[in-house]
Amino acid sequence: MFRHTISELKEALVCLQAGQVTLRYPFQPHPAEGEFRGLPAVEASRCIGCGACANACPARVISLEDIEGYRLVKFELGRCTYCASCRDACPQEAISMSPMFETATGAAADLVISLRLKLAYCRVCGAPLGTRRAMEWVQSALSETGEYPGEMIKGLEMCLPCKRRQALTTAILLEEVAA
Amino acid sequence: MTLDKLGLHIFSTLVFPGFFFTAMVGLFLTWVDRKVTAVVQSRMGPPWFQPYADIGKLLGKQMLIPRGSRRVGFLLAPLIALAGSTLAAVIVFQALFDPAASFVGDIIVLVYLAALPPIALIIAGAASRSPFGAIGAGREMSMVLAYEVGFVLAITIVLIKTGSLRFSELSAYQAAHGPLLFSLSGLIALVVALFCAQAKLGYLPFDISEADTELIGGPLAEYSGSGLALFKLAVAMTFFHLPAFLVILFMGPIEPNLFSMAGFLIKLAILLFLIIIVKSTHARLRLDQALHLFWGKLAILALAGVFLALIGW
Amino acid sequence: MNRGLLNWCFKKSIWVYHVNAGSCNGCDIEILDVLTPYYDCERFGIRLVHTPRHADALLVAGPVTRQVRERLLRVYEAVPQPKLVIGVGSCATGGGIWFDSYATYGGLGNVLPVNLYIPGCPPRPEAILYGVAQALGLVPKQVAAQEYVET
Repeated sequence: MFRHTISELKEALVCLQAGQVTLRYPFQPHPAEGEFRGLPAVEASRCIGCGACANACPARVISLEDIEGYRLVKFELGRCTYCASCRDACPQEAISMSPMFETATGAAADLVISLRLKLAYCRVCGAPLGTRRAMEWVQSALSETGEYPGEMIKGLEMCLPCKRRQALTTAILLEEVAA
Repeated sequence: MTLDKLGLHIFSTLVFPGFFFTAMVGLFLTWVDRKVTAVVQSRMGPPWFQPYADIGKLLGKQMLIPRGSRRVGFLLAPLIALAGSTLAAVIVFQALFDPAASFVGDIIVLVYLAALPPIALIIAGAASRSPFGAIGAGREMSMVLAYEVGFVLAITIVLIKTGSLRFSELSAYQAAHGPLLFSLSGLIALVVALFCAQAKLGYLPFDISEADTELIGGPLAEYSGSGLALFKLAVAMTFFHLPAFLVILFMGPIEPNLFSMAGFLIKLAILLFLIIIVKSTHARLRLDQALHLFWGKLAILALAGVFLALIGW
Repeated sequence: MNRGLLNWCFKKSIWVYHVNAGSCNGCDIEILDVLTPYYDCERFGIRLVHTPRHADALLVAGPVTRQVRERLLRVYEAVPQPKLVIGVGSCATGGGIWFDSYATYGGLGNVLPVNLYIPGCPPRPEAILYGVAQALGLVPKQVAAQEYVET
């Protein structure tokens, strides 16, 4: 036992050489390094409410609901597992994993991000089509290619049954079908 | 006994140098223990008021009494521990501050008063209706039988050399013949007494009965609130008066002048430092290893010391 | 002892007992990290104890599985008042990815009254330390519900 004592005391001296290794956190910041995935941050002006993130999330944290003329996109981040599938799925790159990890709270409701995006409605019958932003994004992407006439692009603002009915009576669309 | 003498005794037992003084300084010394342990482990330790906050918090918590436990034993055990520590501290510090009050045999009184906290631990373990308490009480009984042997043999060496049973005559002997530490048998006695002090305090490597990770606190497993606070206070007070007792026994005469008092503090600091360093660098011994150590090597060493004391070394 | 002094003592000295309520051990490892010298929680007065009777706060990790629920309730009742319950990890906060499983209760909030959630999968040791410091009033809360309405 006494040999053990001597070796332990030698180890204590070695430890003393290390000095004090304690971080002064939380009184001094200690940010994460590299590609650390913290709390998801949503760039609300880029979200088009497509729901790709809701489809990809393994914890079903993201939900979409159409109520009263708005699409409510809700991120209930209490359950989030920080896998970044939503970031990878988003076509607009609106979601990014911020480096924030200091997310302690007394109520899980503090971790909810909700976006209300205006819905677009069919020009003819008024049925809801999706978000206005999604509509505008598709329209601008198609008009940039220059291959589609403006009327066709405007024709996107109709629900499918109305589009079919319109196609039977619009000359330019009939031409496409004929060709 | 007149009323003012009674009042003086009550004051000396409860305030100075009794319960209040020993408790405050003992808690401060447990902070020193935690701070030195932290330095050995390369980290910051707790702030200086930590032990006081711990005891205050424990006193403010609800004390749960397990259903089916023996209430009398369960509730009396912390009080017995505290009473034992307080009275032992009074006797030890009377030797420092008021040598004229020591009586024949006060060392023996001290030995059995200092044995009260471990007995209280055994009562606590047996009274709480818990298998951890039962095992802890059994282990504590074995440990008491082990270390009291060495402790009493060390004191026997002192008695043989000084030929008296009073604290005041110890100081006179050491003033005449030099500290007991400087003789071979005195040195052996101090080493044996240090081992026994480490076991009496219940510190690593001898904290077998209260093993946190094995026995969930052993006898203390079912205590919460005030009961736990009183047990921790008793250990803190023992951490103060037991090394002080060893300093008075072995390390030289204590005179009531400033220089001698400063020397006492330095010697106390050295002994405390030894106890703390051993505590923070060792792993826990098994019960059979500890019994082999106390009844084997240390008992033989102490008997050799007694023999050396008898022949005058 | 007056109430203010007791509150101060309670804030300066919190003894925690760690419970694994069906966790994958990720959060348990991060809790162990907080007890190392690098993050040193003893400077806040936090100590790990080995029985709920000595504890002030319960650190619960994991969505509460059906087998563990009864034991978790017994541990909760063994902690003397005043007590805190801290749920560590995304599983304790809302059930994690097991939120609708038949084998769990979907998060700690459905079983015990929770004082603090520390989300993360697993939360960094800094996040756990920040959460406890926030409960002690040393640092401010940094999250709040965010709402955006398109105009």
